[in-house]
Amino acid sequence: MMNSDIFKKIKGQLGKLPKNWIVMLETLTKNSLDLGLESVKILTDQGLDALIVSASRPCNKLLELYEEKKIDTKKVFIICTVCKSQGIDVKDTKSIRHVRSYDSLMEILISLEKIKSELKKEEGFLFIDSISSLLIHNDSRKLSQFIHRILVTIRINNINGILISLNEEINKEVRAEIAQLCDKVISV
Amino acid sequence: MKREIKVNKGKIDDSVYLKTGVPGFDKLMGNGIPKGHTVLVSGGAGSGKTIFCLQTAFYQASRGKKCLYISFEENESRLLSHMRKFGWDCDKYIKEGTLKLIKSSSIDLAKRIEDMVNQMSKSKFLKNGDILDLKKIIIPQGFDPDLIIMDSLSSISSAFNNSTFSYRLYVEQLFDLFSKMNATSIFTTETEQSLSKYSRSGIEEFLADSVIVLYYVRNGSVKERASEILKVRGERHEEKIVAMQITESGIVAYPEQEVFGNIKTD
Repeated sequence: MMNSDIFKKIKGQLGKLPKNWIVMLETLTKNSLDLGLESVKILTDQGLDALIVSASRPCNKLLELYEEKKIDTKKVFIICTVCKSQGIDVKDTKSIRHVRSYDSLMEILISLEKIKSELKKEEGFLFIDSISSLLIHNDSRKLSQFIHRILVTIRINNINGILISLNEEINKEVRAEIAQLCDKVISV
Repeated sequence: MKREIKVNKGKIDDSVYLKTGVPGFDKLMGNGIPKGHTVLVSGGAGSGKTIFCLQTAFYQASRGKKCLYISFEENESRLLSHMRKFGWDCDKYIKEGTLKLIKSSSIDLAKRIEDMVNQMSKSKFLKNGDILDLKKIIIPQGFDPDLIIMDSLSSISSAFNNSTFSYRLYVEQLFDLFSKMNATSIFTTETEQSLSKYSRSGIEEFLADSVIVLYYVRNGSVKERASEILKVRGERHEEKIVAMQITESGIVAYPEQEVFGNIKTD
């Protein structure tokens, strides 16, 4: 469980962001799940729709965790890279899109294009969970190109963004490339 | 024969362009396929050439245009089955007479053309400007199509044994015939999954007014579909390779999604 100082810090930082922000959240592996849940909770409670790119957990597990955390799942849209990668036979719904594999990055972008029209609020946020997981299955150059493309897409569409990155696992060059595309890096 | 190309000067005129019915695709070509153009759709096995053509034929038939689809590879019932799988009500337009699907034998066709060429050369009449009477062996009598699709030129090319001359003459005169008929024509040609070869003999891409390339290439552990417009004579077009998908309702192109990463051809 994440300690209360970290909780306060993240709440404070996410509470005072300007409009159309993109933030990179750097943390330790042991904190990443709680930090991710907390961030989604804080932002959905502010009324924002959440658009989650999940590369760490299957969408059904993620939804269970959100419900336990009392996150309004009606505000949650998921692009799941996990289920089909594991051979699970799943169908797309209005709020959940599945891509074939962790490295189907083009498909993630296409899914984002499809799903963003479902966002109820004018303002929403994209949450990438996590860069480190995507980096396991994609070469760093391709992933940097993808992150660049996805961040440009959300900026054009006035969607905010949070990218979770694990301190221990991320390649320094990738981190530097991605950090320079973000408005802020929060380390907790 | 000189072909008149109507160049778009700002305002989009639907009477000048033929829409493919493939969401996102017409934007790549500028405004769609300029009417009267001869279009080459090139791509490797499984790249979606046949579906692309069937979708265009279906869309045009649904808009009341007469479409003739000549396949040298699949019979009518298989083509119908492909279309039904995407939920396209093709039977309606076949009944109405706007859509005609024909299975033709490339070997028979090649033999008839070679016989014609031999006949003409024996009579020492064959010279530039001689015309093969292709219309009566290709177009069903009494059917005056707005759109003609031939799938594929590769089958015909293979059927011409070693006679490259006959094949080239055939392609040249075929393109000319469709142009004189004021029909828009689409030909498919199967290539390797290569990014540099667009037809077997090379003459097709040279003669065609527009060349569309469909890709089905490996990117990491997955195969991705993409499309590119190589040329559209007299029109501005997108020059990037963009993502494409075959969905439950047909092909969709994503003009904003340029393909990235280390794409490899198999």
